[in-house]
Amino acid sequence: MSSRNARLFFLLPLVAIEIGCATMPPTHRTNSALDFLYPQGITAAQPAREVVLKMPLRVGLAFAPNRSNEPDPITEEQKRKLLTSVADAFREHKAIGHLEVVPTTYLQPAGSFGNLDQIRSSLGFDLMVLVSYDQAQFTESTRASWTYLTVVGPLLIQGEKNDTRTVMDAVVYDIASRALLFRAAGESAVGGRSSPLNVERKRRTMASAGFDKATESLIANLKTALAQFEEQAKSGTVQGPGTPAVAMYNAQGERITSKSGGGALGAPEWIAAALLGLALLLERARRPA
Amino acid sequence: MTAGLVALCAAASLLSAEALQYDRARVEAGEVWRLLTGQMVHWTARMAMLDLGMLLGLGAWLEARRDRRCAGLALLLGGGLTALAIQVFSPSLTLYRGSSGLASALFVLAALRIARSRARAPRALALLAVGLFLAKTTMELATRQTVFAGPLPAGVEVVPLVHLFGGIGGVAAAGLAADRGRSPG
Repeated sequence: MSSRNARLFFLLPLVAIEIGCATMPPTHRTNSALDFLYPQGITAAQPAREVVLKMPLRVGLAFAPNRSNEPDPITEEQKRKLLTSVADAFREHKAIGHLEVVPTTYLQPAGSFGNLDQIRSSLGFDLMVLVSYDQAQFTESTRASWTYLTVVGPLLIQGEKNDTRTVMDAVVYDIASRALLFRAAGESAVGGRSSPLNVERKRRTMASAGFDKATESLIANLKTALAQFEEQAKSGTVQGPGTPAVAMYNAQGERITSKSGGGALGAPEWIAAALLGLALLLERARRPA
Repeated sequence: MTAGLVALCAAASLLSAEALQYDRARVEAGEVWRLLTGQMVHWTARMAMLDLGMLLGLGAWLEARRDRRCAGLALLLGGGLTALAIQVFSPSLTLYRGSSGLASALFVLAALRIARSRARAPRALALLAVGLFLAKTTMELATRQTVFAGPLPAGVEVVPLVHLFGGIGGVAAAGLAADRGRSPG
């Protein structure tokens, strides 16, 4: 073999690796709770009825199923762990009596409220928390990628820059009335480097880390949204004028409302004070001069 | 002492009432001073005049007859018991303003002082006054309807429990003062 052919023999595979790595396409995976709830489109949805919440509430949490049956970036076990961490953050809340993670297999793609009614009948949930995600991953070669032309470059040099952006969204629905009570989102950005040989593994690790961080952000925002909803609901509507009416009842069956009080004296108290004044005058009149 | 307290309440009314009113969420978050400052601010000027007017009149009379210590004790006990009534015994209450708990404590103390009179008529009038106060408060608690409360902003209700607990503070102060009077030395 001539020396020129020998160089080509060794260089071509390396160039192939270089080209392959530089052109690794971004990935974008999503699922949508609204897609699950309104498969015919949200304009076809029936208006929500009045919401009646009787404490303590039974709440289910689940990832919305993928309508297109595409593989998720995380496994079912990872999903269960994420939802369990969300559930643990709210388990002690005074309004919640029971919080349970529902496997995604219980939800059918485009199952809509009929599917939720089935879950409500079988598991007794009052509210359902549906979690959606949107995760995009990008990989691009850095200037260090010229080292791939060497034999050891692809093995030792982490010349690929990876970015993973994750957004998780949770919507809380009252199943009976089909009313959206409140929602919250969490997001994360995870970055790192890899070599062309382990880029797939790194992306899988970053996908998982992206979900973990987005879940932490989601939990904090859910707590804020829940507190705001509790205050708003005391005034009688889910989210203000024009939204479904909501009535909340405590465990004793008493209606929970926002109440302002005043320590105010009225006419009877002043009449009583006048009687005291009269008594004083009489007492003074009877005293010897 | 009473004049100073009333002046303080009047000055507090000029500040932001939202910063001083009782707010259950903020108290539970750590702003416990609102249990007392909430009793210094009022919803309306009329409410402030009626509450603080009675507070000033009764307090000035008690101090004039050298009952300052007992009046101070009644205010302390009345204020503390009012805070208890709001925080513990009125769980549905989210906001509160008003000094009628303090005024109720002084009212009951003043009535019990007059009721010690040897003359029959003043004694009877004083007991009638306390009876009227107690009957009105009890009826409001039992029926959950206020009587002749006067105009308050929409959504604000009178809390009769505050008057009852404030009155109990006045009774306790009178009782403690009587015990001190009876004890030797």
